[in-house]
Amino acid sequence: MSEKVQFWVLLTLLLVSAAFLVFVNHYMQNAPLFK
Amino acid sequence: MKLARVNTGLLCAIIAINLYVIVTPFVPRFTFWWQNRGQHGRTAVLQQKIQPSHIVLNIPSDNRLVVPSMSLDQPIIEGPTMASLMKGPWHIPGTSTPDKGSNTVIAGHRFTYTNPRGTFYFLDKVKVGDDFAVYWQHKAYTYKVVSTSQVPPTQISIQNPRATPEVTLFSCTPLWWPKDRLVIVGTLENTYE
Repeated sequence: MSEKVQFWVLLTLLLVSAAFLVFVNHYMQNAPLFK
Repeated sequence: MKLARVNTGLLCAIIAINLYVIVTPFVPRFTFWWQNRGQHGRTAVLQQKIQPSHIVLNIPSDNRLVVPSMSLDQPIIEGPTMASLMKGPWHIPGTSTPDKGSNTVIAGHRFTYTNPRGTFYFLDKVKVGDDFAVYWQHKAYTYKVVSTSQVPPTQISIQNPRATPEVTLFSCTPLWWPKDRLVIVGTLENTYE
Protein backbone atom coordinates (compact mmCIF):
# COMPACT_ATOMS: atom_id res chain seq x y z
CA MET A 1 0.00 0.00 0.00
CA SER A 2 1.40 3.38 -0.95
CA GLU A 3 2.02 5.98 1.75
CA LYS A 4 -0.65 8.20 0.27
CA VAL A 5 -3.30 5.47 0.58
CA GLN A 6 -2.12 4.67 4.12
CA PHE A 7 -2.51 8.34 5.01
CA TRP A 8 -6.13 8.49 3.86
CA VAL A 9 -7.00 5.20 5.56
CA LEU A 10 -5.45 6.34 8.84
CA LEU A 11 -7.06 9.79 8.63
CA THR A 12 -10.46 8.18 8.10
CA LEU A 13 -9.91 5.83 11.06
CA LEU A 14 -8.86 8.78 13.22
CA LEU A 15 -11.97 10.74 12.34
CA VAL A 16 -14.21 7.71 12.96
CA SER A 17 -12.53 7.11 16.35
CA ALA A 18 -12.90 10.76 17.36
CA ALA A 19 -16.55 10.80 16.24
CA PHE A 20 -17.22 7.62 18.25
CA LEU A 21 -15.67 9.17 21.38
CA VAL A 22 -17.79 12.31 20.97
CA PHE A 23 -20.91 10.19 20.40
CA VAL A 24 -20.50 7.92 23.44
CA ASN A 25 -19.63 10.87 25.66
CA HIS A 26 -22.65 12.83 24.47
CA TYR A 27 -24.93 9.79 24.79
CA MET A 28 -23.80 9.04 28.34
CA GLN A 29 -24.24 12.65 29.45
CA ASN A 30 -27.54 13.35 27.78
CA ALA A 31 -29.66 10.25 28.27
CA PRO A 32 -32.96 11.57 29.60
CA LEU A 33 -33.65 10.72 33.22
CA PHE A 34 -37.28 10.03 32.37
CA LYS A 35 -38.97 9.58 29.03
CA MET B 1 9.43 10.13 4.04
CA LYS B 2 7.50 13.06 5.53
CA LEU B 3 4.21 11.31 4.87
CA ALA B 4 5.51 8.22 6.66
CA ARG B 5 6.04 10.31 9.80
CA VAL B 6 2.55 11.79 9.51
CA ASN B 7 1.15 8.27 9.17
CA THR B 8 2.97 7.19 12.31
CA GLY B 9 1.51 10.19 14.16
CA LEU B 10 -1.99 9.37 12.92
CA LEU B 11 -1.60 5.76 14.03
CA CYS B 12 -0.50 6.88 17.50
CA ALA B 13 -3.50 9.25 17.73
CA ILE B 14 -5.90 6.45 16.70
CA ILE B 15 -4.43 4.11 19.31
CA ALA B 16 -4.60 6.83 22.01
CA ILE B 17 -8.25 7.71 21.31
CA ASN B 18 -9.34 4.08 21.26
CA LEU B 19 -7.40 3.28 24.43
CA TYR B 20 -9.12 6.24 26.11
CA VAL B 21 -12.55 4.97 25.01
CA ILE B 22 -11.81 1.45 26.24
CA VAL B 23 -9.85 2.16 29.43
CA THR B 24 -11.68 5.19 30.91
CA PRO B 25 -14.83 3.21 31.88
CA PHE B 26 -12.64 1.06 34.13
CA VAL B 27 -10.91 3.98 35.87
CA PRO B 28 -13.56 4.24 38.65
CA ARG B 29 -13.19 0.48 39.25
CA PHE B 30 -9.44 0.88 39.66
CA THR B 31 -9.91 3.93 41.91
CA PHE B 32 -12.39 1.99 44.08
CA TRP B 33 -9.98 -0.92 44.40
CA TRP B 34 -7.07 1.41 45.15
CA GLN B 35 -8.99 3.35 47.80
CA ASN B 36 -10.29 0.19 49.50
CA ARG B 37 -7.15 -1.91 49.64
CA GLY B 38 -6.14 -2.87 53.16
CA GLN B 39 -8.24 -2.83 56.31
CA HIS B 40 -8.82 0.89 56.56
CA GLY B 41 -10.13 1.56 53.10
CA ARG B 42 -12.37 4.43 52.13
CA THR B 43 -15.57 2.37 52.50
CA ALA B 44 -14.63 1.44 56.10
CA VAL B 45 -13.76 5.07 56.86
CA LEU B 46 -17.08 6.30 55.48
CA GLN B 47 -18.94 3.57 57.41
CA GLN B 48 -17.25 4.85 60.56
CA LYS B 49 -18.13 8.41 59.59
CA ILE B 50 -21.88 7.74 59.69
CA GLN B 51 -21.82 5.98 63.08
CA PRO B 52 -23.78 7.89 65.77
CA SER B 53 -20.69 8.54 67.91
CA HIS B 54 -18.92 10.22 65.01
CA ILE B 55 -21.79 11.80 63.16
CA VAL B 56 -22.96 14.12 65.97
CA LEU B 57 -19.50 15.68 66.24
CA ASN B 58 -18.83 16.10 62.56
CA ILE B 59 -21.83 17.50 60.75
CA PRO B 60 -20.49 19.38 57.71
CA SER B 61 -21.72 22.84 56.81
CA ASP B 62 -22.71 21.82 53.28
CA ASN B 63 -25.40 19.40 52.13
CA ARG B 64 -23.75 16.03 51.49
CA LEU B 65 -24.58 12.48 50.54
CA VAL B 66 -22.48 9.75 52.14
CA VAL B 67 -22.99 6.18 50.92
CA PRO B 68 -20.19 3.96 52.31
CA SER B 69 -21.03 0.89 50.22
CA MET B 70 -20.35 2.78 47.01
CA SER B 71 -17.50 4.81 48.49
CA LEU B 72 -19.36 8.07 47.90
CA ASP B 73 -19.00 11.27 49.92
CA GLN B 74 -19.97 14.27 47.82
CA PRO B 75 -21.86 17.55 48.12
CA ILE B 76 -25.48 17.43 46.97
CA ILE B 77 -26.00 19.72 44.00
CA GLU B 78 -29.09 21.90 43.73
CA GLY B 79 -30.06 23.22 40.33
CA PRO B 80 -33.03 23.65 38.02
CA THR B 81 -31.79 21.56 35.10
CA MET B 82 -30.13 18.23 34.36
CA ALA B 83 -26.90 20.11 33.71
CA SER B 84 -26.36 19.97 37.48
CA LEU B 85 -25.75 16.23 37.12
CA MET B 86 -22.33 17.12 35.72
CA LYS B 87 -21.36 18.49 39.14
CA GLY B 88 -22.32 15.49 41.29
CA PRO B 89 -25.39 13.99 43.02
CA TRP B 90 -28.34 16.16 42.00
CA HIS B 91 -31.33 16.78 44.26
CA ILE B 92 -34.25 16.62 41.84
CA PRO B 93 -36.13 19.94 42.06
CA GLY B 94 -39.70 19.63 43.29
CA THR B 95 -39.03 16.55 45.40
CA SER B 96 -38.89 16.74 49.16
CA THR B 97 -35.88 17.42 51.35
CA PRO B 98 -34.76 15.35 54.38
CA ASP B 99 -36.04 17.94 56.86
CA LYS B 100 -39.55 17.78 55.35
CA GLY B 101 -39.93 13.97 55.31
CA SER B 102 -41.66 12.35 52.34
CA ASN B 103 -39.51 11.38 49.34
CA THR B 104 -36.17 13.10 48.74
CA VAL B 105 -34.93 12.10 45.30
CA ILE B 106 -31.27 12.28 44.32
CA ALA B 107 -29.94 11.28 40.90
CA GLY B 108 -26.41 10.82 39.64
CA HIS B 109 -24.65 9.94 36.42
CA ARG B 110 -23.61 6.29 36.30
CA PHE B 111 -20.69 6.98 34.02
CA THR B 112 -19.47 9.81 31.81
CA TYR B 113 -16.19 10.23 29.96
CA THR B 114 -15.69 13.69 31.43
CA ASN B 115 -15.92 14.60 35.11
CA PRO B 116 -17.60 13.71 37.41
CA ARG B 117 -16.99 10.42 35.50
CA GLY B 118 -19.01 8.13 37.78
CA THR B 119 -21.01 9.74 40.57
CA PHE B 120 -23.26 6.69 41.05
CA TYR B 121 -20.95 4.25 39.22
CA PHE B 122 -21.16 1.78 42.11
CA LEU B 123 -24.87 2.18 42.84
CA ASP B 124 -25.25 -1.55 42.15
CA LYS B 125 -23.00 -2.26 45.15
CA VAL B 126 -25.64 -0.81 47.49
CA LYS B 127 -27.67 -3.66 48.98
CA VAL B 128 -30.75 -3.93 51.19
CA GLY B 129 -29.73 -3.33 54.82
CA ASP B 130 -26.86 -0.93 53.99
CA ASP B 131 -26.75 2.42 55.76
CA PHE B 132 -26.17 5.82 54.24
CA ALA B 133 -26.41 9.40 55.43
CA VAL B 134 -27.62 12.72 54.11
CA TYR B 135 -26.32 15.91 55.69
CA TRP B 136 -28.88 18.59 55.13
CA GLN B 137 -28.78 22.13 56.52
CA HIS B 138 -26.59 21.35 59.52
CA LYS B 139 -28.48 18.19 60.45
CA ALA B 140 -27.60 14.58 59.71
CA TYR B 141 -30.13 11.98 58.60
CA THR B 142 -29.25 8.31 58.42
CA TYR B 143 -31.17 5.87 56.26
CA LYS B 144 -31.34 2.11 55.85
CA VAL B 145 -31.78 0.69 52.37
CA VAL B 146 -35.09 -1.17 52.18
CA SER B 147 -35.32 -1.86 48.47
CA THR B 148 -33.36 -1.95 45.25
CA SER B 149 -35.08 -2.24 41.90
CA GLN B 150 -34.67 -1.76 38.20
CA VAL B 151 -37.39 0.21 36.45
CA PRO B 152 -37.94 1.60 32.95
CA PRO B 153 -37.29 5.34 32.52
CA THR B 154 -41.01 5.84 32.02
CA GLN B 155 -41.70 4.93 35.66
CA ILE B 156 -41.68 8.43 37.11
CA SER B 157 -43.66 7.20 40.13
CA ILE B 158 -40.32 6.63 41.89
CA GLN B 159 -40.38 10.39 42.52
CA ASN B 160 -43.85 10.42 44.07
CA PRO B 161 -44.30 11.78 47.61
CA ARG B 162 -44.47 9.10 50.32
CA ALA B 163 -46.07 8.86 53.74
CA THR B 164 -42.77 7.92 55.39
CA PRO B 165 -39.49 9.88 55.25
CA GLU B 166 -37.41 8.30 52.51
CA VAL B 167 -34.52 8.99 50.19
CA THR B 168 -34.57 7.61 46.66
CA LEU B 169 -31.26 7.34 44.82
CA PHE B 170 -31.30 6.45 41.17
CA SER B 171 -29.07 6.23 38.14
CA CYS B 172 -28.89 4.59 34.76
CA THR B 173 -28.49 0.84 34.39
CA PRO B 174 -26.88 -1.22 32.95
CA LEU B 175 -23.58 0.50 33.46
CA TRP B 176 -22.68 0.97 29.79
CA TRP B 177 -26.12 1.54 28.38
CA PRO B 178 -28.66 3.88 30.00
CA LYS B 179 -31.64 1.64 29.14
CA ASP B 180 -33.28 1.44 32.58
CA ARG B 181 -33.00 3.11 35.97
CA LEU B 182 -31.53 1.47 39.08
CA VAL B 183 -33.48 2.68 42.11
CA ILE B 184 -32.37 2.48 45.74
CA VAL B 185 -34.84 3.43 48.46
CA GLY B 186 -33.78 4.11 52.05
CA THR B 187 -36.04 4.83 54.99
CA LEU B 188 -35.11 7.22 57.77
CA GLU B 189 -33.42 5.64 60.77
CA ASN B 190 -32.15 8.55 62.86
CA THR B 191 -31.76 12.30 62.86
CA TYR B 192 -28.82 14.10 64.47
CA GLU B 193 -28.19 17.77 65.06
